[in-house]
Amino acid sequence: MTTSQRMRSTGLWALRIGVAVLCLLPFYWLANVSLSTPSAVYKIPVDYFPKPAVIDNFRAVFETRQFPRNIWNSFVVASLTTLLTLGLGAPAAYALARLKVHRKELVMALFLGIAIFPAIGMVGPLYMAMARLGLINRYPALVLPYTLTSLPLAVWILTHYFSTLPGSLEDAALVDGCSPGSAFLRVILPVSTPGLFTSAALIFIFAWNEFLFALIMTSTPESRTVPVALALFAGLHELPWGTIAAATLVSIVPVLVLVAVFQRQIVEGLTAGTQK
Amino acid sequence: MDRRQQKRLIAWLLAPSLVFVTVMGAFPVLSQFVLSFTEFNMKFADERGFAGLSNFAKLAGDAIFRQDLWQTFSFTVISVGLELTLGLAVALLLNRIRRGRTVFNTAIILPWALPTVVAATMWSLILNDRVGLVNSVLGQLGLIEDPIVWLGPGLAMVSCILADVWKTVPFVAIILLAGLKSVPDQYYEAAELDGAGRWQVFRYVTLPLLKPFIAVALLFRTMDAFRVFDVIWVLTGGASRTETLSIYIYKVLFRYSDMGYGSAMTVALFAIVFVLSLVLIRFMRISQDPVSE
Amino acid sequence: MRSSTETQRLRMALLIGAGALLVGTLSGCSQDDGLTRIVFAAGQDPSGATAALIEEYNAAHPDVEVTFQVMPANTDTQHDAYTTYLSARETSIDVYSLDVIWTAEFARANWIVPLPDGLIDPDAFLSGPMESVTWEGTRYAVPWFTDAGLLYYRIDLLADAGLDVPVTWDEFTAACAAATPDEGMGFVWQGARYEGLICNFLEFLWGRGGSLDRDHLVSSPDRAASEIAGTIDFMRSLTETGVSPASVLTYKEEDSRRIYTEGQALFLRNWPYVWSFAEGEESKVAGTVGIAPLPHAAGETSYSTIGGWNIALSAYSEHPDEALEFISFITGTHSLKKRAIEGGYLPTRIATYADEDVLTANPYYASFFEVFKNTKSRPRSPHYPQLSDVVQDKVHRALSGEIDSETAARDIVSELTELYAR
Repeated sequence: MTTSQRMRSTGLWALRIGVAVLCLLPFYWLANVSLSTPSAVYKIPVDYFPKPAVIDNFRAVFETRQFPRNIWNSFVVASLTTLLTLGLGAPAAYALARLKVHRKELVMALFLGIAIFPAIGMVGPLYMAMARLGLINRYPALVLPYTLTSLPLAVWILTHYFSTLPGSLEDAALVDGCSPGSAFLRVILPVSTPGLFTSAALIFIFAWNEFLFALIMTSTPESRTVPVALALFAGLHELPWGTIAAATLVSIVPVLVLVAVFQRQIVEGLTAGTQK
Repeated sequence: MDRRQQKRLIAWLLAPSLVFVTVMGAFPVLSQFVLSFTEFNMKFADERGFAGLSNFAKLAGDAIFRQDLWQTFSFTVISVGLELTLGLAVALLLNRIRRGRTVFNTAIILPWALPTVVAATMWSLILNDRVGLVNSVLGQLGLIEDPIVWLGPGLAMVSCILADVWKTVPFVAIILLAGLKSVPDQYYEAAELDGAGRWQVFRYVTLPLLKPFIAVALLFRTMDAFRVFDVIWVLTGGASRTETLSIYIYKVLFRYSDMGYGSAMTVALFAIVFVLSLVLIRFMRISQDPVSE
Repeated sequence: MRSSTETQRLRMALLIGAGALLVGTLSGCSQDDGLTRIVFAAGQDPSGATAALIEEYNAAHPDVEVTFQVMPANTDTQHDAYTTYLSARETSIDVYSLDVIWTAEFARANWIVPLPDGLIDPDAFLSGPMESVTWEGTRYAVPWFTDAGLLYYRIDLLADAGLDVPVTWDEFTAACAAATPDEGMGFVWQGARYEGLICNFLEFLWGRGGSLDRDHLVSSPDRAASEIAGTIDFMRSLTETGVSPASVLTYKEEDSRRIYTEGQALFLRNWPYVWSFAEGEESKVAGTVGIAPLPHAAGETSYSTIGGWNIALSAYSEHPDEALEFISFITGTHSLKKRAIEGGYLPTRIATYADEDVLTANPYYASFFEVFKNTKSRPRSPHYPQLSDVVQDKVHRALSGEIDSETAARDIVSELTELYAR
C-alpha cells in the first residue's frame, strides 16, 4: 500500500466510524439514562456515565406491566404485515416489471394514490370498519391497515428491483420447460432476496413503529403494541425517563437481533441475478 | 407463452393486491372525498349538511393552511435533499467494506428501527437547553457560552430537520445499498481497465445504474416528508414556525372533530402530493437510464 | 439448495402458521359467563391505586366485572382516542374519565349523559371542580381529582435576602432581582405551545383583571384586547429582563420542575404534583420549599387555573345502571382517599382535606386547600380544543416575537368571539 492509499483507507475508516457513532449516539444516551437514578437525567451539569449505575429501571419495566407481551404483539403484527404485504406485493410487482400489463401506468398510479393518501384521514373510517367486524384487539385490526399503507411501497420498490434483473433469466427457465408462474417462484424470487429483504425490513420496521392506529385499535393493556406501551409509562405530568429509556432499550432487543441476523440479506444479499 | 396465457397469469399475479387495496382502501378514501363536500362536525352531528365547495373555498382563504404549506415544502426540500446526499454517502462508504460489516450494517439500521415517537422524545432530551447532551458538550469544549435554545424560536425547524435526517438517512442508505449490490463487478472492472478515475467510475457507472433506486428513495421520501407528523409533533408541537400540513389536519380532524373541513384538507394534501409525485416520476423517467428498463 | 417438495412443505407450514396467527387475538378472548361487563377508560395511574380499587369493587360485586382500560395519561392522546371511539358510537366503553376542559364538548355532542339528581351531593365537593362538571345548568359528570396552579418559592433564598413572599408582580420582580441564585434563574413556568401555556397565560391575565369569558369579550372587546396585549407584554418582559430564561418558551411541566428541584430557580409556577418531588430524596431543595398563591397586579386578585379530571357515563353504554353504581364507588370518599394517599391525586371532596389518614400521608394538603378556594376555569365552550389552540398559537407567536402583542390580542378577541357565537 502506498502512503496515499493508506491515508485514504484511514480516512474512510474514520468516516465510517463517525457515521456509526452518530447513529448510535441517542442509544448511548438511552443506555446512560436507563442505568441512572431517576433524578440523574435532570442533573446540571450532565453526567456522561451513570454514577452510580442502577438496574432499578429495568426491574420496573418487567415488574409492573405486561411489557414482554407488548413486545410479542409488536413482533407478531410486524411479521404478519411483512408476510402479507410481500405475499400480495411481490407477484404484482413481478407482473408490472416483467410482463406486458395493459394500463400499467394506471395500476401504478392506483398504488401510488393509496401510498399518498394521508393515513390520518383513514384512522376514523378504518376504526369504524374494524369495530363493526369485531376485530378490535385482534391482530387483523392492525395488520390489515398496515398492509394497506405499506403495500404500495413494496410494489414500487420490487417493481424497480425486478426490472433490473436481466431478461435472460426467465428465458432460460422457460426453455427448461417451466411455466411463467413457476419461473417467477423458482427463478426470480430466489435471486431477488436482496430486494425482498430490503422491502421486508422497511415494512417490518414501519409496522413496529406505528403509534396512532395502534392506540385506536387496541384497548387492553395486553393487546397494546410497543409504541403505545411506551406511552403508558408516563404519568399525567411526570415523565419517568429512566423507565422509559429502559423499556425502549428492552424493546429494541428483538429488532437488534433481527437486524444483526439479517443485515447481510438486508443490505448485502446476493448481487442479484446479474452475475449468473 | 401465448397472449391468453400471459393475460391469465397477469390477472392471477395482480388480482390479490388490487382486490386488497380496493376493498380496504375504498371506504376510508371515498369517505374522505364525500365528507369534503359536507358540513359535518362530529360534535354537532345533528347539524350535518351538504356544503358544496365551501370547504375548499375556506381552504383557499386559510392563512394558516398557506403558511403550513410553505413550511411543509421547506421541510421536505431541505430534509429530503440532505437525506439523499448523506444516504448516498453512507451507502458508498459501507458498500465495499471488508471488516466489521455486521457492526456497521446494524449500526446504520438501528436509528430507523427506533419508534419515531421515542426517537423524537430522545432528541428533545439531548437538545434540551439546560440538561441536554449537545449543549453540555459544546459548553465544555468552550464553543458556546450561553446555552443554545435548539427547540425555541429560530432553530426549531433546524432541529426538527436534523432529527428527521438522523432517523431516515438509514432508510435511504438501505435502499441505495441494495441498489449498489445490483451493480455487477464486471462494470467496475471494465471501467478500471479503460483507465477511468474514481470520480469517473462513480459519475458514469455507479450513478446511472443507481438511478432507479435513487428515484424510488426520492419519491417515497418526498411523499413521507410532505406528510411529516410525529417528529415535529413531539419536538415542538408545531410551534415556532414548524407546523406542517399533517399537524394542522390532525388537529382539525381529531381535536376539532371537524370532519368536513378536515377531509377537504386531506383531499387537498392528497392532490398536492399526487401532483408532486407525478412531476418527480416524469422527471425521473426523462433521466432514466436504458439499462434499468 | 433445498428440494422443491421440502420448500413447498415449508411454504405450506408458513402459510398455515400465518393464517392461525391472523385470526388470533392480541389479548385473551372474552367468554360468556353471565357477568355484566363494565369498561372504565382512564389515564394510566402509575401508583396502582386505581387498579386496586377496581379489584376491590369486583370482589364485592360478584355479578359485575369492571375492566380498567388503561390509556396514556397524556390529555391530548386521550382526547383524540375518546372522540374517535365516541364518533363511532362505541358501546364497549361505559365510563370515561374526562379532563375538566372537555365537559361542554362531550355534553354538546351527546356523547355523555346527564347524571341522575340523587347520585351525588354537590355540596360535598370543592366548588371549582363542581362547576367544571356542569354545562348549561346540567350535571354531566362527577369530579374525580383536581389540580391548580401554584407558586413554588425557595424559603431559604427569600430569607437570606430578607424578603417576604411576594404578593404583587412588582414585589415579585423585585424579589427576582434580589434573590435569584448564582448561575440560576428567577422564575420558570410553562411556555411551550401546548395546553399548559393557556393555563399559565390565563393566570397572568386574571391576575391583571382580564378575562377570556364570552360576556367580557362581547361586551367590551377593546378593553379585553388591551388586557390581553398588556399580559403578553408583561410575559415578554419576563424573558427580556432575564427573570425567566429565553428557553421558557420550550418548557412543559417537567422541564421547569427539574430546574427548580435542581436548585436553579427561585420561583416556579407548577401543579401540586411537584411537591412530592421537591421534598423527595433526590431533590436539592428539600426542606426549603414554600408554596403560595400566584402573584397578581396591585389592586387585583390572584387566581389559579383549575385542572383535574371528572368521571362521566357514556351515552352508548349498554349497562348504564351498573356503570352509575361504579361511578359512585370510584368517586366515593373511600376511593378518593386511597388515590390521594397512594397516588397523590388531589381529592375533590372537601371532607377529605380534614381526613387524618390523608393528612398524615400528605401533610401539605392543608395549604393547598387555601389556594383551591381561588380557582377559575378555562373558557367553557363545545369548541374548547379549537379555542385553546387559537390562544396557544397567538400567545406563543407573540412571545417568540413572530407577531406583536396588539395583533395577537386583536386576533384572539375576534377569533374567540366567532367561536363562542357558533
